[in-house]
Amino acid sequence: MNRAIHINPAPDIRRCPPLSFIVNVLDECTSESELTELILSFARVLREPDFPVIHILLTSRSESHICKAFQNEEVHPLACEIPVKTSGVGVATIISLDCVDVDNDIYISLQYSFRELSWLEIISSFPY
Amino acid sequence: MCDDQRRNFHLLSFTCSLTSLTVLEGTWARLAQVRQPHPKCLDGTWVDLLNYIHDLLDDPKNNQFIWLHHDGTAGVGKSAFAFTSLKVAEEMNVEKRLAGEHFFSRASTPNTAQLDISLRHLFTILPPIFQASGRM
Repeated sequence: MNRAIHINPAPDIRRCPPLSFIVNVLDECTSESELTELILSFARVLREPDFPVIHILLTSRSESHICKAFQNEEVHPLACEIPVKTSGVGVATIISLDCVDVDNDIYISLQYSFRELSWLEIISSFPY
Repeated sequence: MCDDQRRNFHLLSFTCSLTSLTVLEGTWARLAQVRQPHPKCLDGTWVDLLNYIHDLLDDPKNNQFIWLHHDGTAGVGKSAFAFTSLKVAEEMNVEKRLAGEHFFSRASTPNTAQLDISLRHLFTILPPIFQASGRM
């Protein structure tokens, strides 16, 4: 029996929203050399001219070996740094907690905590 | 690459991306289950930072590293910082745009061996030209 197979033309991957790969807490990697090699490998892959657009989000403490890896000439042009600091004037790529209006965040956090507490009160007053 | 090769590459990598995302969706669901209940930043908080990260992640043209880092001093908001990244991952997962995620941990995943598994999954499904460029 012949079956008709309909294949929808796949859209060009470049028109799809870019994918993300996330690597957290780089500083917990115990081998500094492995980590440097990893960052360089990512950079080499990202620099391939025909590679589909993909963003790599990395988080870490600002430790010296990680900073050094990001200063590498293969890595630096691709890197977008977001340093998070407790003080200092915020510039375009710096999120400084001093410069952010945190009142609303505190309000939301307290509201959430009080809601949790009220639930606990209801549960603890339940007659057994 | 000639036009035909480029077209085939796009078709192949698109199909691979979809397959990869389907498999990773399962992995993500299992990870999320293991981590439950996990703390995260509350809806409506850290909005500026999240918007800033999302603007970068939405860039359709240039591959980039987005490196979020802190100096580790007390009160910098290290926990909120970690939860921010978790929230970004969750949102990317909902949008089917999370290609992979890895947490380094001195206690359980202190080296790159396990990360290599996720990376192999991501990159070896792409055409050989890309396998040659990485560590895979």
